Amino acid sequence: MRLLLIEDDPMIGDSIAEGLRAEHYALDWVRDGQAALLALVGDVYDLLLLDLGLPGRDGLEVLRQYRARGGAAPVLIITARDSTLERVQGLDAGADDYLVKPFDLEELSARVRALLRRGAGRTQPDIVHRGLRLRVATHEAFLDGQPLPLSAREFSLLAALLDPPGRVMSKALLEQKLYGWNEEVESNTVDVYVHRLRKKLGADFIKNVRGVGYLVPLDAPAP
Amino acid sequence: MRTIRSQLLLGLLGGTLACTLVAGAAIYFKVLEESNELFDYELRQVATTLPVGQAVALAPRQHGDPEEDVVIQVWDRAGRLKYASTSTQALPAAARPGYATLASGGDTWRVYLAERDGDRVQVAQAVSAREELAARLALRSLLPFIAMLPLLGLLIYAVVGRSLRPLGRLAHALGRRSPHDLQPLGAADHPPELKPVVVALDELLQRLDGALRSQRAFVADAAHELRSPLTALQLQLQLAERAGDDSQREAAFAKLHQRLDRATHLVRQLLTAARQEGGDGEAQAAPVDLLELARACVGERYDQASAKEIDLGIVDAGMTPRVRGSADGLRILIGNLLDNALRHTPQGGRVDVSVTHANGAVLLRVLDDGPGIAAADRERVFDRFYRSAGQAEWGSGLGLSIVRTVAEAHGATVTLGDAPSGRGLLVMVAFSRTA
Repeated sequence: MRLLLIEDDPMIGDSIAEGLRAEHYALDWVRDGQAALLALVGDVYDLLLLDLGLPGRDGLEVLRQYRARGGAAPVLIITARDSTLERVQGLDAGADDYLVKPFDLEELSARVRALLRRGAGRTQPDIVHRGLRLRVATHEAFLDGQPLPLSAREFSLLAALLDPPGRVMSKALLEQKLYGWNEEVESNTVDVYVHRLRKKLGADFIKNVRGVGYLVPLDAPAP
Repeated sequence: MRTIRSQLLLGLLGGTLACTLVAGAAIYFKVLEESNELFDYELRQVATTLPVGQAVALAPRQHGDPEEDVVIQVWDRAGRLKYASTSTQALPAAARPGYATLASGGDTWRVYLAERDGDRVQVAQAVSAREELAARLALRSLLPFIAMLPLLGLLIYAVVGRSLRPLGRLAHALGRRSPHDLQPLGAADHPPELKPVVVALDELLQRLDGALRSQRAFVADAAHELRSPLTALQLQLQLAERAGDDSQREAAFAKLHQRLDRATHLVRQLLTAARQEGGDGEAQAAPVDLLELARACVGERYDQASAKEIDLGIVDAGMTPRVRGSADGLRILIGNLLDNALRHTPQGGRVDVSVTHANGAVLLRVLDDGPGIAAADRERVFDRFYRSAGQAEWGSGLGLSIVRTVAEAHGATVTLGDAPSGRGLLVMVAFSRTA
């Protein structure tokens, strides 16, 4: 899952980035509205964390422009502005949730998980597919009730393919979901993780659509 | 202090009474003068025309009015009293014919003596009787005025009360106000005499409103601004708690310290701003050697500068520029400018401070080679908590606001400009109150 953090305060941004990266999200951090709009051009993000009090261009303006251009990712506003009017304005401008500073890191993570779940059209906290259960809150995986050891990247790749399943995702997109800007990506890294996951889940679990990318099919494969 | 009503009442009534009394005295003396002439004439008439031949026919005259009580005496050639109109009054004869004033029997008498055929006829009248008449006449003409005094008093009381009603209304309007209602009173509804008061009050209310607003805004801003360092602290504390090993924990704690320093810095700056805006800086005005103060401030920041390998120093022009002001306030001003310069100057940069005379003013200049401030932002950076875009360094957002407050308290102006080299910021503070 790839997140965009838009926060001008260097210390708050640093701590949020550290905390969320520790939970295996790929996170990019921009410090002003202009940079945020640039970063959002590709629209690869699964969630936006948006501070409203940005220098230069206000957070709400960034949000409106993002929505106006069709950006669909859930947006969590994190701000020091706590009046009802400002909350209403934020939500009406297209935000999905509102978190007032100061806040708890645990709460931030929980809201991020909830928003990602809703963004994927899921109501259950765990991602469940064909006997595989991914517990997003703790990054634990279970196959037919048994714990399944997965690396953080393997977990993230699976979560990207399964949330929701049935979509073909290009290698480039999967790479973007796994890595933030300042992380080195090896050229065949997605292939390597898919290979490892197939070993653990069975060769049929992840399908390859040649020239397009990978997908986890919705229905059980034909025998 | 006496009420305006009683002052007016006493003043007007007293004045009226005094005027009445003066008028009374004038009437008294005028009447006395005129009646003297009249009675003197009467005395002479009586003395010259009284038929003394038929002395027998002369009966003592009985009159109710004492002023008409004249005493008539007739002496014959030998000096024997031939006739006296009254037996009780035995007046001596005047020495010469004509008018005279005699004292007899504890009273003063006005007499006229006429010599007729060897007899001497003297007609006398008591002066006290004349005075009594004049007093009675004067009193009689004053009586209506004196009788009207209480009525006048009531009238004054009522009219003054009525005229003072707008004052009462104003007091009532002010007294009814809540402390938050600082709307102007509006001079239109008040009589012209009250207008200066109302206008002055409105101006005061306006100033109070401004001060209160800025105080409220300051508290709200401060509360808002404190959220950020507190958020940073809380998040970092949780990260420190989650740290898996010692090296992670150490790094987390180091960051925690930075965030705590920042929160402390903000609180300190808030306090300084509140003090300076409260006018503490104006309290003591004494000659201050600006160069000496700048040296002290630079010295205190040696460690800070050398940690970033910044060449911080003073360009000495060999002068002792003194300004009038508060050494504490000026130390805060220079300190904030230096802190800003050090914060924004990159590693290995240079910060120059100079104090010179220019056009009768003392000029403090702080020059850095940081990113500078865009021309469009140069006014807004003095606003509290304003941060320009793309600013990597964290500050309280109060530094330049404090600098301006202190400068204004010293009648000095702060100007931001480009460094002569084209890179960096030049801050100039011009003090006109030199000492």
